[in-house]
Amino acid sequence: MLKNYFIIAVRHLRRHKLYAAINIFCLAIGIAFSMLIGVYIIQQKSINGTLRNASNQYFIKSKWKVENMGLEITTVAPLAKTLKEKYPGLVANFYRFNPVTNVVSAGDMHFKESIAICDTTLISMYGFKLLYGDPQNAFRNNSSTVITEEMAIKLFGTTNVINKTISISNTTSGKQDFTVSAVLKTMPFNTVNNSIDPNGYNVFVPFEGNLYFQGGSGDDKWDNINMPGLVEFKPGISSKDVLKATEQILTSNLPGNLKGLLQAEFVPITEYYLRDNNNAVQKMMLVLSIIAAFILLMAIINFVNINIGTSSYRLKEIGLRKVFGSARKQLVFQHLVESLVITFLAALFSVFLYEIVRPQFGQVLNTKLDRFWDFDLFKIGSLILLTILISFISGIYPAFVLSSTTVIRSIKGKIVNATGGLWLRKGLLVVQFSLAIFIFIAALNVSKQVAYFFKKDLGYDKEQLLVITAFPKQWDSVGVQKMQTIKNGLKELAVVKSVSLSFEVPDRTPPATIDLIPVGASKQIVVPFISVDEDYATTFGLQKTDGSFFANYEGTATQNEIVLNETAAKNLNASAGSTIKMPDGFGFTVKGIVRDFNYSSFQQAIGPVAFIHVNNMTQYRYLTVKLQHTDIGNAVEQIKAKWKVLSPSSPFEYTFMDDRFQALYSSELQLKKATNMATALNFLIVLMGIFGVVAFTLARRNKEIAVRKVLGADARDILLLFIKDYAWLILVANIIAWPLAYIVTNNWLQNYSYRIGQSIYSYITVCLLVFILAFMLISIQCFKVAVSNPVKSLRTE
Amino acid sequence: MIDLKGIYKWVNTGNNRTFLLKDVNLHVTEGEFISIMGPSGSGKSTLLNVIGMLDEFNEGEYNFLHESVHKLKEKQRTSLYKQYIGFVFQAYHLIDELTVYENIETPLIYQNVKTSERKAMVADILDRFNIVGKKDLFPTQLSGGQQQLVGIARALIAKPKLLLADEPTGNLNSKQGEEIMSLFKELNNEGVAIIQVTHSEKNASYGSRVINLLDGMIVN
Repeated sequence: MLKNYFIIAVRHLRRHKLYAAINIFCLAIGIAFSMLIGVYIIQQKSINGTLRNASNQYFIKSKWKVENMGLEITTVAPLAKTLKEKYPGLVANFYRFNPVTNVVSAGDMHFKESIAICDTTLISMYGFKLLYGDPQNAFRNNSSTVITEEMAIKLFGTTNVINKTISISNTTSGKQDFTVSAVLKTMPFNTVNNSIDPNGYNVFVPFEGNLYFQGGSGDDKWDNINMPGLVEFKPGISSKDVLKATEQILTSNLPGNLKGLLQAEFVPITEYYLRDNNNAVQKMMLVLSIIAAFILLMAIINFVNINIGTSSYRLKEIGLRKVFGSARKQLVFQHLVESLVITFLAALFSVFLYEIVRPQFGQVLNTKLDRFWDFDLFKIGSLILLTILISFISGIYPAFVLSSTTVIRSIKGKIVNATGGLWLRKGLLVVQFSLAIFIFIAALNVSKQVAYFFKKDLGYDKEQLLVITAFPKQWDSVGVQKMQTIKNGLKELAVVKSVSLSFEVPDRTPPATIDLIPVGASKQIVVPFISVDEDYATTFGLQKTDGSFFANYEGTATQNEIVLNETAAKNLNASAGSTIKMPDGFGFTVKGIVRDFNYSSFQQAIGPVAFIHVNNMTQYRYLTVKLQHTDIGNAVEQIKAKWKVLSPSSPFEYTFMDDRFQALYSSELQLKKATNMATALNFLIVLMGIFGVVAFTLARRNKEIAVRKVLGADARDILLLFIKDYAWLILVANIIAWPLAYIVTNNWLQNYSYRIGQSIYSYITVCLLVFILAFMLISIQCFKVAVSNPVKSLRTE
Repeated sequence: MIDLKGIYKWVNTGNNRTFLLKDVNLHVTEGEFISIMGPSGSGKSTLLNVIGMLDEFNEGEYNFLHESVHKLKEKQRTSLYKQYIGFVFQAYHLIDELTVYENIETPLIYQNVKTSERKAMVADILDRFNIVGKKDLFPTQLSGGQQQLVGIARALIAKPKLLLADEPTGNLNSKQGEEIMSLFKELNNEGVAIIQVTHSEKNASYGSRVINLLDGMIVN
């Protein structure tokens, strides 16, 4: 019997190729999109899954009582270590690292690299695979280093580099040599190595005996609040137990200015990645799942609509089967088999689609999606399950409707509950249109907000800014002096307008803060600060509203001067010339005020920011060059040539400020692409659905149209007849979709301190576009029937 | 085998009640060959459908082989007619997507007959009706007479006790019609009871009894 069902299903498909093609294609789009999203979600969820004892691994996050006091992802340096030492019953292991960027050399090879100065527990705690070296004792001594295989190849051209020597430039004027004691196999993306810098670190050196910073690594200082800390709990220990211990440690060890202001939070490493950045990944997964569900739903609606619509030619068969003794159950089953055949074909086709769009889609999501051929059993199983589920959902309703018609009527080819079915079909169409319009409006608003990011006056000029990141960081006055020389050298070039040395460029809220007491007040406020030189304002195009942006000191230390942005000036009640004090009595003279600028993403409102001269605060990371004209390629070449002369031992590595700016909004750009894609797919499915429905309505109403024409209707009247049907469906859909779109978009926009206002025009545009598209499609299809000779169709009856 | 007592069937249109069948009383014994005649709209097909349990009636009693049909549930009715009744239609009503062979086989599938047995039974009947060569063709590839032959073969495959035919020759030319009627006669002689609806006196003459219907009532 099953074989019989399959045979008849395939024959039906072949006879009604158009409808079969529409159904299969739409379902294939739905399934392919679900596959892409599904694979993405599975991949994202499995991040960190390969870490040893992943379920016991935790990341220590910080909750600060005072805003801007410290970062969320770092904690007090000795906390993780102290937990393990004082509570060995709770904590099995700990790992901390201090991420720095500097030049790593081997012989004549110099590269700017991300380096982790870290605890030597890295390998033993997380079980990262080694190509060479002893996993139990990866760091043999304090001058050992562990590097990744990529790094080994980059420096030495081979992976077996045990006992070779590399040297790392540090901030104290010199270089420190390390001997390679282990080579790491390429690490999968994970939260231990990629949490702060998504590109991860390639060189690991121990805290002990490290000369990178003056005065040690700072890993034992309770006032160092900038150290990421990770711990592994003993089996069966909950974060509640450890929290209590942590509170005790913090209470007894924190210095006075931090006491009571810091609260630790233990985030399971398995969840860390998904919850990081204000749940960014989880939100993206949710949005994508919803979009996939929408697209699937639309494909299923098409299937149901077309199946019920074209059912008249099935009814005779159904009636006859009943006459010959088929039970209703058997008929329902037969239809489910049919829908399974169609869905299965769609699934096959979707694999093909999946492979075609996989690379592009992976790019949008910033990941590499698995090839279909590499799917594991779980993924294949899920796909099969999804296929069966879809075939069931899309087949069950038509099956019941069709099999419920009474025998006599079905033999005559009439559906009993014609009006009921019609209402349902119209309802489904309204749902489809509403979804399409909703997604369209949302996509339009996302695009507008993204465009706004790039259009809004930032308060600084991000164009033609070349940010050089690789140079020796000798964080003392001699180092600053050396940089001054390089600066002057670059300035000699005609293509260079100005150059500035700074610790930050405007791509994040500066994590370093200073406590200042507002003029005329007694309680201090926390103000983030940036150490910069006097050319910062000119280079970035900041506008002075009062005073000056430091003076040109030519390297001699300044006298306790500070520059504020407008908000800081307002909060501190200061103007150029006023004196503001730190709680310890140290006083700054306000040298000038600059207009507020977006130093961070638009999600955050502009807060107070202070500038301290790099001569006073001798820390710097960026050398930013403002180029003179737009021939960037030529300018870069000239600067590169000059750089080799000025700083022969560092590679010339740079980024452009506008690229860094764009990187701030990568998730928004992703969202924009995803919603655009969803809009396109939705419309494709909806239009195909309309095409199918109109095609069979035309076939069924052939005689009616002919009669109308004989009675004097012209082609226009006939077109109107069909368009009228859809016009009010689209209208109702708009009425449903508009408020939904408004609420959801508004909700999303609330994430941004700087955002667009929603305008009615986007809504009207979408509405009109849907009308025009639908009507064009209907007109094209109807036109042939509307102008054909009515006698012909009447004769065939 | 069939006993209809005071069968009424009506439809309500607005305030009016239109009777399709009015006080129909009919007794059919096994092996009879009855022809139902009457003008268009007199209720011939309705009566046939009621007898075939495809249509329901509003009032009256219907006993089929000592079963009270009016008291049965749909499922039981289905199994009853599945077992004992074969249908032949004016418009043949073959399933277009199935071949001749598969069309004939369908009733057996619904009666859960085993594959090997089905094969044998279908082969027998194909042979008997001389359409073995056509078994892999689709209905649209056959002439009207051939299609009706397949329709009859399909009705007989499950060896019914009663054959119901609604104008079986209505769409056929006279020669094909005669062939079908002599086939019916032959079947009747083998013991199958037949009730046919017909317009033609000539066709009616093949039967043993004629029932005349007018406005839903039997007039004799």
